[in-house]
Amino acid sequence: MTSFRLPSKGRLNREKLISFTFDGKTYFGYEGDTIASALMANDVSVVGRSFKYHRPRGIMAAGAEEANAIAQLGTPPFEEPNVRMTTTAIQEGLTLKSVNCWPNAKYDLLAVTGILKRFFVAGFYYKVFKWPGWKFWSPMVRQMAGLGTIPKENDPSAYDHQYKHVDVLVVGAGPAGIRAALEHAKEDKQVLLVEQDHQIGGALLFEDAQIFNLSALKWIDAQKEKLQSHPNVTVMTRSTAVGYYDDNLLAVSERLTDHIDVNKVADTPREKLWHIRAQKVVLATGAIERPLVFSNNDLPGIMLASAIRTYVNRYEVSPGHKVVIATNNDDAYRTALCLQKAGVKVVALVDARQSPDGYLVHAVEDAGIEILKGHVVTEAKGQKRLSSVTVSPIDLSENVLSTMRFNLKCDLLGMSGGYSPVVHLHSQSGGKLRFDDCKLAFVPSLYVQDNECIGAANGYFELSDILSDVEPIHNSPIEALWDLPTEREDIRHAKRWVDFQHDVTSSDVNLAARENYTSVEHFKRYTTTGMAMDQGKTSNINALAILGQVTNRDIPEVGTTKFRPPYTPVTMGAFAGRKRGKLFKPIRYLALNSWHEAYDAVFDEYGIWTRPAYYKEDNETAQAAIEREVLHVRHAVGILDYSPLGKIDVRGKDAAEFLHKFYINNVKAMKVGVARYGLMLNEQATVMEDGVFSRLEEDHFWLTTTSGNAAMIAGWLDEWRQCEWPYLDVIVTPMTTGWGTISIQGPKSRKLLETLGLDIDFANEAFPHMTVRCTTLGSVEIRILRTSFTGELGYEVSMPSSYMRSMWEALLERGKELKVEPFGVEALLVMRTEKGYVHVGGDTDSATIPHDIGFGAMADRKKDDFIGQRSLTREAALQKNREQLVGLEVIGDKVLPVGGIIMANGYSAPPAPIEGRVTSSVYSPTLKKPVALGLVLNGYERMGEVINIYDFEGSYEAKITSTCFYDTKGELVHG
Amino acid sequence: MHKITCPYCGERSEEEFKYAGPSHLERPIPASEVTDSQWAEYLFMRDNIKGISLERWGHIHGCSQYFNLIRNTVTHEIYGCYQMGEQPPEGWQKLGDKK
Amino acid sequence: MQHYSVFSLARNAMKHHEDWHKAWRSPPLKEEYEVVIVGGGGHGLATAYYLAKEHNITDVAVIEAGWLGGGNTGRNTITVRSNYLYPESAEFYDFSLKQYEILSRELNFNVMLRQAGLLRLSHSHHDVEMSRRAINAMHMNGVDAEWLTREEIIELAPGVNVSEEARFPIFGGMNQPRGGVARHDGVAWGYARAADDRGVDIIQQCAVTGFEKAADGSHLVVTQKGTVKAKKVALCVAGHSSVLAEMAGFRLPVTSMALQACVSEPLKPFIDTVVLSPDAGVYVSQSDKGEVVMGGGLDLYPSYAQRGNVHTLENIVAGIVEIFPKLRRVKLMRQWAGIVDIVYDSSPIIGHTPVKNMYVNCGFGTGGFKAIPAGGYTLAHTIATDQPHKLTEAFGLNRFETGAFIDEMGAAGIAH
Repeated sequence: MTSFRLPSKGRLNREKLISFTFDGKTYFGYEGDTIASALMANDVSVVGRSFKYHRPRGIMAAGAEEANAIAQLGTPPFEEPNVRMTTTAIQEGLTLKSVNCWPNAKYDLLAVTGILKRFFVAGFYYKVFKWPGWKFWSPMVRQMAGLGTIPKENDPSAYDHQYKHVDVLVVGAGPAGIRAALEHAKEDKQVLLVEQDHQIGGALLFEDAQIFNLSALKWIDAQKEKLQSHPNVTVMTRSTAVGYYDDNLLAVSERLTDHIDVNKVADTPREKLWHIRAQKVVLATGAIERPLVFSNNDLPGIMLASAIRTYVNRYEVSPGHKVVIATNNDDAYRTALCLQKAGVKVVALVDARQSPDGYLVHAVEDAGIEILKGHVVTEAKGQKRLSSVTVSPIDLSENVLSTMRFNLKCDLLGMSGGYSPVVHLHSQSGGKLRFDDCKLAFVPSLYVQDNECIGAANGYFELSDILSDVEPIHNSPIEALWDLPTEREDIRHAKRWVDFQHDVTSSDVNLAARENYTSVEHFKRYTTTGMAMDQGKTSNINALAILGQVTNRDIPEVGTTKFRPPYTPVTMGAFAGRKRGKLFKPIRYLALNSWHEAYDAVFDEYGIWTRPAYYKEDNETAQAAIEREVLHVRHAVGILDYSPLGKIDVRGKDAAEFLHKFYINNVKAMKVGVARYGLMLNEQATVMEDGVFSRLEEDHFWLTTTSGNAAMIAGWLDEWRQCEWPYLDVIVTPMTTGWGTISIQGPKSRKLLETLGLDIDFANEAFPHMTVRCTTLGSVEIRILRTSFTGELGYEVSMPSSYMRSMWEALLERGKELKVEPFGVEALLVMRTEKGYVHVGGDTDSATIPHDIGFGAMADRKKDDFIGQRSLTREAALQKNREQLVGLEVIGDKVLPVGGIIMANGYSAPPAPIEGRVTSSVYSPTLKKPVALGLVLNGYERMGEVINIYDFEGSYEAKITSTCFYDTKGELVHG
Repeated sequence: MHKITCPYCGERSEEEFKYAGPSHLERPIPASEVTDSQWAEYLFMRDNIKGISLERWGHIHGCSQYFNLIRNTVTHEIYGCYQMGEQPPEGWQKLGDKK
Repeated sequence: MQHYSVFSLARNAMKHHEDWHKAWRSPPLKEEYEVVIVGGGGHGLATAYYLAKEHNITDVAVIEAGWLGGGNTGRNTITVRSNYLYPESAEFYDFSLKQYEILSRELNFNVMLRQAGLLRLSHSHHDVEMSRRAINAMHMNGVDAEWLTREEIIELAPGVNVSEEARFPIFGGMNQPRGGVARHDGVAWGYARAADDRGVDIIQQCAVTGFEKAADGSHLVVTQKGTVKAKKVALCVAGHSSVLAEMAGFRLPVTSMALQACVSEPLKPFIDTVVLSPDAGVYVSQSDKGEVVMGGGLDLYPSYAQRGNVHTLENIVAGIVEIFPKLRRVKLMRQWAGIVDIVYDSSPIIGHTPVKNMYVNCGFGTGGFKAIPAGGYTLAHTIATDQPHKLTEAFGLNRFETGAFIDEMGAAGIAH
């Protein structure tokens, strides 16, 4: 037995035994244990395997910086890959499986790759695998990659977002953060204190400290009470500030339910992603201890010195029986004292410094622990568990390692290479760092946003620096020990780990330097240092210091890589929040949706709207239903819920002049009551929009737009109004969703409208095609536009949406004798194709100008400036070879595929020059044959020509015709 | 994530706004009389400033009003806003210097 | 150049890897070069390499403000493809893909090209028509493309959302089997090493601060490390093109914006192909290290800050987990951004500038990585001959005056 449970000091609830499984074996721990501490108490030392060499790995840390102890947690559908054992509490029934190993962490057959580690150096894959090719090798390499596995089932948990504005956001509830929170609260600021742990206290949760007359824990309790009772303070635990964005916006990930029961869907969201906007941000994010770099420093049983204190004091477990401490600073001496106090044997403290003489040094001496000054651990030995370390004298001032060496038997090594402030968020805020030569750490220098770093995050590692109630102690300064001197042969070629998870060793750092990957970013990428799940929390500073050494550069000159969000990995579901399933993009239903449903409509999504495609009768096929609806409109009358039609009111004394700048039509000349089919271009002369617009009054126009463009066109008009022509007296009001529209189409549509008893004369002469009438029915405003997208006599009746149902039902009721029937979008599309009406966006693309769809003369006739006009005279618009919209009559009886490509003359198979494409194609029940539209190169000049059309599922021949296949003289709309 | 002060609504988060191009672009009048090259200058050629820039933004998920913003494209700092049709304050190019 | 092979690796392993040479030199900046290329990203390095290889012009300096391959080359989502509608684009990008197919051996550097396909999902009937058009057009252009049914997609992209709660139904999809991914750093380093081997000087940490004219008409490139004379200058600086153009006295039709990408924690491989969902606005692949690599839309305003916005990131991740809901409980590990050069028609600008003997390569926007070999190859041709390469005749600056755009928007729903 190596690690073991210590006697209770009340930190764990020894009354509550919790069972969980790891790699199929059941273990027990107590309430308050993390997975790491519980496994340690069960003497499990190998908890994982490294990424590349499958080295056996133990727990090395006690917090978010853990690089080794990663596992797959839970069972479907609650499986979570890559869970850090050091920050996850155990709970009854928890199941864990080690990752990246087979069959398990302890006996991993994949460890054979370790034999090849001589070859698998940094970047080796860039040098090989070129034959026969990466396609051949990558499947094997990929199988070796990755840690956990993707969950087998979809996660049923809910996630949410929440927003909060505060005066002061304090990140980190250690002593510095707590103090800052209370101080700001005193100044009447609204303060939010967030803490990643489930308890506040930070390092005081495990340090033996005396604050005035209180123990650390008592002090925390006292502060907790102060915080809780203060009306200005909110404390959020299990909440990690993960990203720092512009203008003091921080993303905070709060974990709400996993600690209650990870194997169940909670009533509340599993996690919340907060957007916290703060006037001021205080970063009290602490510091992370650095490992030392020596041979086999990745063996299980080697830990950060402060982590040992955490396990002993907070989790009441000793990670070993016989302990050696290795350090280059005073802080690790606390670990020796802590262990001795807990009754654990400290074999020796190995300090690389020649003559440290701080308070703690003397305390350790006084405690009778042997201190080997001017010594370093050069190698760790053991099989899957540390059994001894080799120690040699070192002279740091000359950087010379003695050839003398001796062994110390131990089963635990606590190492400390100093501390790195957690400056991630500061760096994300845009703040700069400077390297402090005394502290051997990057500390915040320049602040860009309104924030400050305090405490250990600012390089003040001693409690007395933070709390005035703490007696300051004298410390001896840290001395640099980034890597061992490599003159000794046994040292030079030994593997000394720098990045534990990614298996980067100091020889990899040397190799990268040798090959000139010396920029810190090249180095990072070439060796993959800092790119593992821990994002280099323990490895980055060591790595770049070693890189500096081997390239004869100072650490500041080497610099750091960018700190990127998130600080610790965040559940992707939390980023999504409620944006999921149907709410990913909310579905827009028509006001009459329930009616359509009841009437057996088959729905489809057209752009942003879900609309009836057709109404199904009995067991007919979609095609049969559509054909029935088409023929019914052609021969009698049909009504279509046309509400998605874009509707925009434009009013003001300059309304005509304003719209004159948009349409290619002559708007100013329009008479009241008249409607026009108009085209709008963008400044590239692309046909952007078509629709019928009408002049209701001198100063009042009513625009209808294609449904997909409704919001865009309203925005377009208003942006030009505000930004380019603010002097025009005009108001643009979008009314698409506020008003509904029923399209009444078919030879009997006039008769149907007449049943409503409106005070409108529907006679052909009184209310001709392309005119508009406004009236009221009771108090309800109604606008009737006589227009047609079917080729039949037709009207579009618009009214406030809330009256749609009454109107719709009234038309069906009163039109019974006329045999009125509803029809869907598909029938409309068939009819407009039969008629050759262009569908902007479908039959056109960004290269289409009015001349390509038969409106060139109208555009050319207008001399006044309008948007897009200037681009009609650019070379590309004037050139001969343009794709023009024509009709296509297939040879044979097959319907042409939309998306079929028109091949150049003389080609019958690909590859071939593209001369256009089929843009619309339907079977016409009216004409009893397929009809189609297409954009064809120089189509207008090629009437009657037979062209070859390619589709990957078949080839076709078609004859070029005019676009109109039905009622070519256009008499019916005037009927 | 900018915090943008809409001159009509006050401080709001970036998601409510739309960037609508550089400020003070002058559309040639009459457009038909400018050369292709001048037309291309207006439509496409941009200063694309790295630093303090005058930009048109619209509070499209708010009051729907457009206005001009003085914004640093490197640091994302916002120094102020002014209404459409107005000119930027004197010395706007140096607004970032105070830091 | 020290040859890389399994044999040299074995040999060096025996010597503890102590005999490996520098991948490239760090030479001092000379006073004069025939050609100075500003920008040591993929395009600049490839330009230098092809100048040396195809045109025997080796008196070349690549001047890089930061570290080579450190801009968008090292920040993209490593996708390669040539699924374009217009023949001009198809020819250019397929030429690029063909160069990628031979690049590892040509450069003696494994760029880890993995052609496991690029799948674009069709979530609506309308999009099925779009895909049909694209497949047909690609066949016309001589590029591989195939239609996959819903069932085939479930097999190729396991875990794709076909559940009841899925927002977007899957009707099928368009696949380019030759599409896939390559290792971005490998491309930059491979070109750098090969160009360096042919005599090109790669000068890092050397920002260009201005351009002047020498008495003989040559360019003087003013840099942090001194002034360099050059007969010809090429700008290959993507998001910073406008800044360099301003120094040289002209403007470009470019707006710089931030494009974000992010990766999950590493997972065992579950998907080989690149999957793109136009409706969810995202694309996803899995790296050889096991990370799920994700990208989506731009932060839609000008920015030179290489970081992104949290709501854009939320939209990207929401799109990813909507298409692959099993990833919902997987964690996001790292997010970053690059500055991309957006132009009106999303097509590149390669060729002459208003300044004599100054050439430009920019405007690739969100999709420059896949074009690196072709961008370098064609620009090298233009620099050497002062003539546009036939692949880039349509991609000149003059199209902004003539209106002859190559507008591919809609070819892939969203670019990447």
